[in-house]
Amino acid sequence: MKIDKSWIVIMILLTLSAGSLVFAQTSPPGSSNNPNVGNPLAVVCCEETNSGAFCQNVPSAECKPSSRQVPTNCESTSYCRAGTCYDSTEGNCLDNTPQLVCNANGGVWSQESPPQCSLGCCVLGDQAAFVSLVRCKRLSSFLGLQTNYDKSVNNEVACIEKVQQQEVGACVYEFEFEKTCKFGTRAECNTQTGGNATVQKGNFYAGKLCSAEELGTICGPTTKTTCVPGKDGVYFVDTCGNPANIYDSSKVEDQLYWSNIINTADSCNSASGNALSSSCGNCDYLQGSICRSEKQAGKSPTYGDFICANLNCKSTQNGKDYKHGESWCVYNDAGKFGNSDNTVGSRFYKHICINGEETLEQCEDFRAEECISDTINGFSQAACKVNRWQDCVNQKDKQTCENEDVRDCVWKPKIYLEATQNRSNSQNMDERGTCFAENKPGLNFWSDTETTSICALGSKSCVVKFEKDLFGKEKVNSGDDNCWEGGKNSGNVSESWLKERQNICSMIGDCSSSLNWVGKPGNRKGAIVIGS
Amino acid sequence: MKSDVFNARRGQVTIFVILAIVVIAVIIVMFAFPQVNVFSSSVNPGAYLKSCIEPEINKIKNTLSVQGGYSSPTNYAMYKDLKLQYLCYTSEFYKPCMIQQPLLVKHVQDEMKRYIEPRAKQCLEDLKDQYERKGYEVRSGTSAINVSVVSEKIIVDFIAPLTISKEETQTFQKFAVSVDSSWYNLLITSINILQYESIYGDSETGLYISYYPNLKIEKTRRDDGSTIYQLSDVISEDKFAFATRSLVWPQGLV
Repeated sequence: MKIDKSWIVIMILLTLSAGSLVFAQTSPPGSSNNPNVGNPLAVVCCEETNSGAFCQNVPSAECKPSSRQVPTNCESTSYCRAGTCYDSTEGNCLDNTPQLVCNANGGVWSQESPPQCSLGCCVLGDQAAFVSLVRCKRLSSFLGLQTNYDKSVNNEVACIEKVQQQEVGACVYEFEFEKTCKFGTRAECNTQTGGNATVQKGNFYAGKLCSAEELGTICGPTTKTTCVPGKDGVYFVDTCGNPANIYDSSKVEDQLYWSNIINTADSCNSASGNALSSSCGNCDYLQGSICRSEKQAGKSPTYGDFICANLNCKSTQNGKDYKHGESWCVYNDAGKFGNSDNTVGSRFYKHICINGEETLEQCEDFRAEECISDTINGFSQAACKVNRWQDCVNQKDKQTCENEDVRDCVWKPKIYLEATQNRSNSQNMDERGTCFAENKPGLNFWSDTETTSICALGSKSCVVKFEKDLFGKEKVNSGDDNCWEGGKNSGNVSESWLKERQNICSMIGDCSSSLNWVGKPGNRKGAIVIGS
Repeated sequence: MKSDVFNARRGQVTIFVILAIVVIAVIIVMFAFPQVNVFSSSVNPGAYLKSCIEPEINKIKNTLSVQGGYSSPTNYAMYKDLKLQYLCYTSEFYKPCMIQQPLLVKHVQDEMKRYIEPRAKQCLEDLKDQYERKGYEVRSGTSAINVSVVSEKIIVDFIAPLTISKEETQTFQKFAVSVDSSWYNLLITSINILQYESIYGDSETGLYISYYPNLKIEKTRRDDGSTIYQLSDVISEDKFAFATRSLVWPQGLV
């Protein structure tokens, strides 16, 4: 039988391919059979990098030699794919956790969120938390309460409403042959404890305070006050240590005030936050006051040791007053913003008023983020948002350019880049122009080669063609009149043209000569500085 | 006669002064060394162990507080000469970070235990010595310690069976030392911030202000894309700081 030589060659090749396939499958992960693994620049999914980070897509050279590395994205690996890590002790769930990181730290990993991570309403006395069941058990144990969990409540607002509807009042019970009382919810009263022992169920009096005379308990009024967890105001305390009504120095001896629960809205001076008021403890967190000790607040009340501390900020950097929790944008570097005229190195900042202190958060450097703010009902809120400047120059008309839904750009009519000059959608010459970033991006011009290509968009040549006559004498043949001072024959480039081009160039990004964020010009020798 | 009366009065005054000095000295000793029982020869084991281990707890707590819960940070951001461990990290652009420490509370407990265990065992040995010096017969079993960071407290449990005998016999199975701390709440808030960072690439600190009046969060952005979080409790002055690197935007168009 005669066998064709070409078949033999094909069979050998197939055998070799199959062999290498088997070899590839049986090779241990991380072995350098794959050409990408040996290549220090090839990106691999690295179990642990040289710097100690886990599950990163990095060049092979950055991967710890002893750790696993596979030439694929980490999402495609069994050990580094991200999922949910469940902490069975704390009852917390964390997403985007690599499998090996979760398992190595003692967590339980799953690709999808496990049922243990589903949330429900956890009632903790007169407060609530929208958490998992295990978390609820943990929180209840901290407070010495029985777990009260309702998984049918499926959002945080409904959970808060649930506890707000709870009746509170005096729970009267016998303890060590005395008629005593504990202030709390009806549910708590049904499982009343005294000292270390659980005692018999108490009698609940909704809307009553423990110091109410008609209850006949051992609890009575005092001049002492306290802060109650989860509440804003300063509260009176009875002789049994129960919180009573809001502290009001005029009601110290008012029997009625010590008998029934009075709402904060009906308590002293409810329209104001009562910050640093020595007579009224009706603090309002939304207005910037909360119960604190006199030492922390810096002022003493008429009775007790607690007062409404002032958390608001006075005379901030911009000269204005702000409430606790308010935030606002600050751009106080040299130059302006919002019209492609930011200075080099300038940045947006978000300032926040916290506990009477003005703190700041930087938005991303290189103006990769910009600060936005709004005021609703007199309460200012600011946030850093991504600066979407990348496709501005590609837009051909004002409408698409200034579409705030997709980009942060501004249309500049009658300003042209060489690349965009004949591209405008509009037939009307007055509407033609170029789309620039509202806040031009910062560029790493001192070390990055990419800056050159971005800034090259603004380049423009002022061409003039010379012609030599028979005797070698040069004569201008053709050229662009508007860039030459006194016409193309003058040989002098127009100062105004140069300025205009530089202006256009600097609208693209940190291109051309410009001012820096402290207002100092930075440029090469001989360059013209815009705005100096 | 007159000088005798005067001398007698002066003597009385001297005695009263000496008595006053003794009383003040006793009071000072009682407050400065609560484990020393000046009125009896017995040792208060709980107070003794607390005074022995509390400085160590504070020491490791202060270290972990400024290093993201790690005594020896590996993957960290440098900030004001401090090494802050990245608890959520990505080396790439445009991507939210991957969680690097999902069980932060457990990790912190393990770090604390590792640090204080040798000293805790020494404290137990010293306690036994104290009893023996006072004439007690001491029998003890194998000891172990356990550290728990819980709401408003850090608890160190000395699981150390101990029997002491003199005229009567006392047996202890466990001693618990508790130090007030709001660190747990800071760790739980940190975990919540990590959750936001790993899903959305950023966190909104204003949210926490509305829920937690005593919490202060300082967020600092670094040029390399890192974010430094410094959490503190304005009442207890406890703090916890860590770093993340998430959803980093490149310079230019990379």
